[in-house]
Amino acid sequence: MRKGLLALLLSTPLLANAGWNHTGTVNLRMDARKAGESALLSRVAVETSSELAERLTLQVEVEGNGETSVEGASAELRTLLLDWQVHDAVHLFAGWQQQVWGRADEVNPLDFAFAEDTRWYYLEPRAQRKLSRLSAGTRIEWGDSSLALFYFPESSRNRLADDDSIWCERACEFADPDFQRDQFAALGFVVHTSKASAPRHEWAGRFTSRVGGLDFGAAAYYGTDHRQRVERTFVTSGVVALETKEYQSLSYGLDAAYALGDVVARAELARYQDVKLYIDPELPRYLADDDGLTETDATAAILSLDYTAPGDIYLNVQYQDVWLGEPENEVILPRELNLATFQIAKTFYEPEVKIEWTTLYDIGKEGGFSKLEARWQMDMQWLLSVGCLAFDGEDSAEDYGAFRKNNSVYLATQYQF
Amino acid sequence: MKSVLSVLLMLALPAVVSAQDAQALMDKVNNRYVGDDALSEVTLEYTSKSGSSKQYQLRIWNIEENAGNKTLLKYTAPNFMRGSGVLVHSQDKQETLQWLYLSQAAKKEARKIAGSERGRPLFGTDIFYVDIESKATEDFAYQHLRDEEFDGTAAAVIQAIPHKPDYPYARTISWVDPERLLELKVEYYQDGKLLKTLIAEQIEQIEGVWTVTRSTVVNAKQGSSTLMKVDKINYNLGLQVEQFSFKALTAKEF
Repeated sequence: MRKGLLALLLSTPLLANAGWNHTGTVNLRMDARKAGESALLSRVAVETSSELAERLTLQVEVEGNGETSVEGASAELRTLLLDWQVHDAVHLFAGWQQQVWGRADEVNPLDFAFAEDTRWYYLEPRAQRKLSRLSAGTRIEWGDSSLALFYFPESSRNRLADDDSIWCERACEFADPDFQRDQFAALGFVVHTSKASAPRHEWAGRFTSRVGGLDFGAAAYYGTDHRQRVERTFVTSGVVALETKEYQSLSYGLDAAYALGDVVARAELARYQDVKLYIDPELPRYLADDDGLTETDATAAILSLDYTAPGDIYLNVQYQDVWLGEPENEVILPRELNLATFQIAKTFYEPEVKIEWTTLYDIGKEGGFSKLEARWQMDMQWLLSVGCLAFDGEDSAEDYGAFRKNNSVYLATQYQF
Repeated sequence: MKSVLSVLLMLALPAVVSAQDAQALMDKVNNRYVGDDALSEVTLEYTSKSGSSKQYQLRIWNIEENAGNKTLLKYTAPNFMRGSGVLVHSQDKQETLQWLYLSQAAKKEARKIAGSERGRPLFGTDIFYVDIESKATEDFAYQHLRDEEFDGTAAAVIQAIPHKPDYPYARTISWVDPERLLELKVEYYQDGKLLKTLIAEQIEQIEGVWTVTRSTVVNAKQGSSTLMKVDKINYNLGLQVEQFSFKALTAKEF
């Protein structure tokens, strides 16, 4: 909210003097849920940019969100970025921005540098859920190659749904120190909570290029895991001390895309070092360990295939595998996580209607999520959508079965300018 | 009586490609001189069957190489599409490479398009991705069907059948002006039915190059049409091959 207002204040006097180029979207969406409730979700986003001086550009993007059930209204700054082109190939930049990395759709192991807003996890495309963070750096572009280097002066973390939100399941609650405090208090503990000062000085780099028909890239990030952890720092008879911490670690990986005839294959491979994991987000088992956390390395890979069949039918299948290394403690977690996604879309042109079915299935958790949506492009600016969301799996299948009560139908409209 | 007159008129026309092989003529058409490079400002106006319309403005860069060409297409209007575009690298005897860039998308990188997407409409118009590729003569089997006058010009009617079964059109029939080496009309067929028809409505000689400055694609399947108007074109600007790159495709200012 504070950054959103800052952006507006900063941009107002500038708007009067510079040639601004505005674009934006207005979204309105009504959900009717299986649980019997309904909610109105709105979002207004305005993006504008101007060349303040020769080779000096300012980009501003402000977004306002409103939700009638739990989250309420908020405004935020998504972009406030100064870009100075010091040479034909070299840019220097500073300010708030958000980026998405990786070549697969929606599931990107390589997308580790920018945190996410998880409040409406399944309602928005991943790109819309990215959170901005303050950075300074350089971007060097030549031909089909690009190298971007980032310095982040402060850490960032994912924005969690409110405890009362329908999009907050067990893992979301467990990441909240207040939730853990209440749980320990219910067991008769005296609970002390504190927050460790967040680490500073983080770094990232992204390189993309092409050789012949192979598009490829690499990325690296030294910084916080955006999932903050609540660590048990002290336990004695009847007393527990909880500290909310952010941990820095190194992540790196590669991605590539290649056209195999009529199919485009996209792949990502990422390695995460020293990842902190909860032993188990269940208090009795969590208590069994010294601090409730364990540390391990993890590797994730995804393969994505795109194909357009005759009749304008688009198909995409993806398979992701995540392997956990040897943890330092015994861990009550699956050592391998598998995720498959499938998407099929058919476009009609008179009128212009796109019908899209997306399924995401977690093979390990035996739970999944499907979305069926029809989008009518009424004219160049107006889009009307109707769709339904369906979750499946056991209650223990976080992100899926736990959300079965959120099965819903929705009606949405978007205006673009 | 009218049909008899038509037949007599056709018989009176010179056999425009009688001495030429259809393959050789189409090779000349596909490889005619269109400048070493070109930059054009184009307006696309799509009109649906119901009469609603949408208008786009584009800037198109093109460069010819020894064995292929490169095209960069960037939208300049409407405002919310400004910067979006398509990059095409066509190389004889190789798969055409295409990338898409959407300025509104969060991923600010070029996205490779599958060969199977070449038969999809470009941003919802009647123009397909494949229509902005250059054509290699050896990829088609040509047949001279007849000679016929089209819009006052003696034309050779040539059928082209692609060798590759996955080409978006099963066949095309072109009315070719053998003097200016231009396609005056093209019918595109899919599944044995007429899909759409391209008609060159205005042809001008600009900087010594015969240029179609106004044409319309009528979509028989959907009842829609797309008007393409070249508002401005300049040839031989000294563009460099390196300019047809990801950097240019994703550029905010161009």
